[in-house]
Amino acid sequence: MQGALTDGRLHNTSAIPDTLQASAVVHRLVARFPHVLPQNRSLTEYRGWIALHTAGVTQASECLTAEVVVQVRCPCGPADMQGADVQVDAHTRALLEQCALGDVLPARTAYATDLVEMLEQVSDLVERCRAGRVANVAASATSPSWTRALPRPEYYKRLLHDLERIGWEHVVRIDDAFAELELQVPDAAGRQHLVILRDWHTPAPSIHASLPAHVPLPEPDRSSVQPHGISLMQAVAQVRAVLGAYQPLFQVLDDVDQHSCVLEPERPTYATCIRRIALGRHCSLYIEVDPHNPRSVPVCRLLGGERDTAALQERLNGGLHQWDAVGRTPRQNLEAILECSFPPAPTAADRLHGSSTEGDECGICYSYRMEGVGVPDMACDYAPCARPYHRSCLWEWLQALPETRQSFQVCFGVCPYCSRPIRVRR
Amino acid sequence: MQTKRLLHERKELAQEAAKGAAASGFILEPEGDSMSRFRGYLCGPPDTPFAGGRFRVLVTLPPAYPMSPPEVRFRTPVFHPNVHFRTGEVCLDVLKAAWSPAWSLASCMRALLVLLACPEPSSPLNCDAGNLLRCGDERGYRSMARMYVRRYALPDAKDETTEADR
Repeated sequence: MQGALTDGRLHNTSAIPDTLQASAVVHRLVARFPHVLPQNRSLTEYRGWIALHTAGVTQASECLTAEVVVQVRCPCGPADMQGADVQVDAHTRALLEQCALGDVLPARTAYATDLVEMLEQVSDLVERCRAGRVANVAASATSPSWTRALPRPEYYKRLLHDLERIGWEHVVRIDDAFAELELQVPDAAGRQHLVILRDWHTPAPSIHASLPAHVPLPEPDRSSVQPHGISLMQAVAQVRAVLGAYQPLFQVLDDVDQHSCVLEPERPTYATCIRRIALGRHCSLYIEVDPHNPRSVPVCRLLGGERDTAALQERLNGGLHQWDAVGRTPRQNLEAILECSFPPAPTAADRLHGSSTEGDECGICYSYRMEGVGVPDMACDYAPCARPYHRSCLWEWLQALPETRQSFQVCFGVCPYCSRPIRVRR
Repeated sequence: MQTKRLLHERKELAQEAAKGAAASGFILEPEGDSMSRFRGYLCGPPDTPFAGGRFRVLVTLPPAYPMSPPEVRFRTPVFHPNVHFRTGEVCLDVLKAAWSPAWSLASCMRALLVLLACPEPSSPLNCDAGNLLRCGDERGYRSMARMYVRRYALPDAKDETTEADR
């Protein structure tokens, strides 16, 4: 056998004419797969490798080998694939498994009519897998989109089934690959929550909702067709459970958002427990609600001109023992302790005419909310002036003046409007 | 930080313009699509030699505005001790060292109107006008100023412009 190989394969194969058909197949084999060679004179066993030509292979990671080692047994000869069996090397097997195509190989090769066709099938399948992998390796740096190697049909069947059970009216958006789903999940009080399921077709999906904490993934079911073993129903049930646990928090935050003018965040959501409430006269109250114990005393900080906040601070310090966590909401408690009622949120019409924040804008940049700086957080201490400023604007102005005195991180200068002494900490 | 302020100022200027030049004493409008150049005119204050005149101005905002003052130039020749006759440059404390972000374009225009009415001869850009006033020749100053208003600033005067304009 070894001697015959060195002489040349054509000579070798034509020297063993089993049947005319078999020799025709072997001729084509030599032309198409020159590295796969018969291992015995009866042409029932072959070994060798298939070279692959996928683009981008050179940049692919080391686990993507450039050729597939194959071993074929065909007891009825190369022209009849009955009872044939094809084995590939461990690397390739692992690759096919990763793409969930491990059981596809025997299925596809079973349809082959002769040896060359069978090897073509193997080569095609592995190349597809590798293309998917290559695309994935390239894409994983930016977005984990898995374009070529799609999940099995069962995945989609199950997904559609689950979506039908959840109800299509709750589906907000599904992307082209059925990988990212946006669902609207109502909670016990009828609030609608947007839930985003990302990378649902990969083994590492995630659940996103506008909540103070991350939604944990439910316990996976290994027998499921999903790559991660979590059905949509389980995911929604999990979100419902988490929403249920946050009901008291939602009530407290709703109460604040509806009955006061929230300066920050601009669009309050349940994702943050921080609120900055306008108190009028350029003062505001910053609160941070504990998501697990929302009716307890929140973290409070008064912001604004020192003259105005001093009295409020005193009331706040002196009145905290009156906090009633059961009978009153935190907003009502704060109103009672500060002995004032919070100004209501401006209506849409107020916002349109800009009257809501008229007079609260920074006296230097004339804007209220500035990107990266926030809202004016200090004011002239002289009561008839009380002009609000962004700390950064006032700092920038005072620092440029020759008559300003600077000591460590504090600038002492005069108010641009009333020319009375003003100081600003950096 | 400039954008919001400029939008606000444009709104304020538009409100002044809506009142009419007679009521507000000035008109100032953005020059084309520019955010930093404004053109307009001041109406000479009544009971001054400048009454009835229209004094065109060009306002350029520096990139640091409002931390630094706008640059204002007259584009109509004005005989006034604090206005350079040829370049139209203005010597006004609030447009120089006394600037503060509390001033706006509209308030600067009002300050210019006051400056026209109340010249300050001790820091002259126009020495002839300054000398006339410092020597107490009020009548000479008024008639000179009036002459230039008639020549350049009346609505039907021939359109001669300052050097800055060319």
